[in-house]
Amino acid sequence: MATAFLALLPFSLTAQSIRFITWNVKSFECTDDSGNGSGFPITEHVNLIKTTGADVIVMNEFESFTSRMTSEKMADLGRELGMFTYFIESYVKNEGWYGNVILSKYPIVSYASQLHPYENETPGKTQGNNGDYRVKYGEDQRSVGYADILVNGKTVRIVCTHLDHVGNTQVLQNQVKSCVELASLDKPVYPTIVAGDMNTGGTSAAMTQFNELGDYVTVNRSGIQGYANLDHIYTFPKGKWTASEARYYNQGKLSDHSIIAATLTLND
Amino acid sequence: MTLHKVLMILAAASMLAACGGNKDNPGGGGNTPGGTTPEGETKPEETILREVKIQAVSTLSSTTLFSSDAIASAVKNYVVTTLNGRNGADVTILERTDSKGIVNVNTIAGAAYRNPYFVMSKIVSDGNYEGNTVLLNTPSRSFAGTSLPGGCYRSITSADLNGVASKIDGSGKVISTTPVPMTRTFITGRFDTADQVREAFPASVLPASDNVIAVGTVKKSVFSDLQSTIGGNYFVEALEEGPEYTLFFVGQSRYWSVNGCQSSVLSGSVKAYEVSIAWK
Repeated sequence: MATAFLALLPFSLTAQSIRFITWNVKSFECTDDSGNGSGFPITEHVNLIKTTGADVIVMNEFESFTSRMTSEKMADLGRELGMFTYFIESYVKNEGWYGNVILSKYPIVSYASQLHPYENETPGKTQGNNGDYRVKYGEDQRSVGYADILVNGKTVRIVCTHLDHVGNTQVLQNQVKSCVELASLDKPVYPTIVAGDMNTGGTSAAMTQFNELGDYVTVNRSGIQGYANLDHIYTFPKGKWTASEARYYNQGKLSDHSIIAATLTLND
Repeated sequence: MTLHKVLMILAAASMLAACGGNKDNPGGGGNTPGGTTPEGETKPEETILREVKIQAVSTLSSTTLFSSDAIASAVKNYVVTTLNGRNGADVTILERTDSKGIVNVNTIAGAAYRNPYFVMSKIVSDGNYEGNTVLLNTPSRSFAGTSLPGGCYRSITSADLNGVASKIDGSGKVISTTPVPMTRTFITGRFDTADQVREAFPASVLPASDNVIAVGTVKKSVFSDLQSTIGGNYFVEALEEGPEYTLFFVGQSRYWSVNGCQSSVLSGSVKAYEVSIAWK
């Protein structure tokens, strides 16, 4: 009788597994700058993403509707991959915006983002910082955002952030705190995945709060191209998820960061 | 100072007050006496038309929006060309884009320079979801969906609206226009049941202290439940009744009135509805 009942439900009750990737795409410039000047094509990026089998993607160093992009890359990716999209704004750039993106094959039912704490020595500036302001706030304005997605009838929160690259631990800790605050990582309302370019090691002092509240997804990075240990995935709350098939995908010239991937399964 | 000069100053001051307002509570306007012609004839009154426009593209029925390539093309043409993308529209609702229409949504949003946000209305089966897409012009910091019965969601966001106040002479000619930008809490959704309507619009989301507006659709049979649910200072007005659904507007009667709703056929049973509302 239980089986018959389950068959009537509109969605599958199989374990919720998400194939998840995080990738800093360097605005599709490519490491040889070949993207810049040829319309920032994304075909090779899409092909590589498809080999990962990704259901959900977070991306950093993304431009939306900027004047140099010949088309809206978030929409192009969404179209090519058949995914819902959310742009997380860090700052205005050339008639458009710079920031991060979440893409999901599962529908997004709620969206939110905020800026990380930041002040520039020159009020109003969002890039480049000097002196005490650089030490206290980092180089550029950064942000965090989330998309709540519906996976087989269950809501999962996907959080994407890009932390400061100057490397001051206190700056990063403040930005991590900002992530915790926006996404309620200390008391998750939904099973949550946090990922992005953290610009530091995954278990470094700067990432203490993430590691205290959640679980770090370990990836063997031997042989990785580009920046080896900056892009990370965390799951929340502790013990809620099991990670498997965690690995990197080498990106060649497509970016200075590799794709970090994992299959994340809810432990119900 | 002569009496004549005092009267002229007072008249000018009263006109300025009538046309005044500010960004947070734009208001004012009304009819202005047209005065007299050099020949001594009385000029017709000038009027002020205040407009905020919100579009909805829908069949107002239970069919998916992108049921053919021709329809997808027509919707794209409307959003990109007719509305002139981001330049001619603020909030545009595409009804029943559904999960299956995500490729078309991305094509349209990208070409129109607009940001798409999904508003779920029903879970049909695993991987098959009904819902709308709302197109905004900037990345949103919050487009919050609240779960209602039956896999339906009500969404709330902060919408930047470009109101226009037009001064129109007695012959209907627009004499001048004044842009009136404003930001308002905007609610939307597509509702099938009385339960969904009641949970979508509790008093807490329509406070008297806020200037909230809502545009959405509700099953015709449930419109009376929506009317019963909307209370306090808020009113609900049916903008267009379709085969199965009614397009509606909700706002506070002290802040808003409805100018009207114009429709045009895009393709087949798909129409574009241009909702024009006036701030007071």
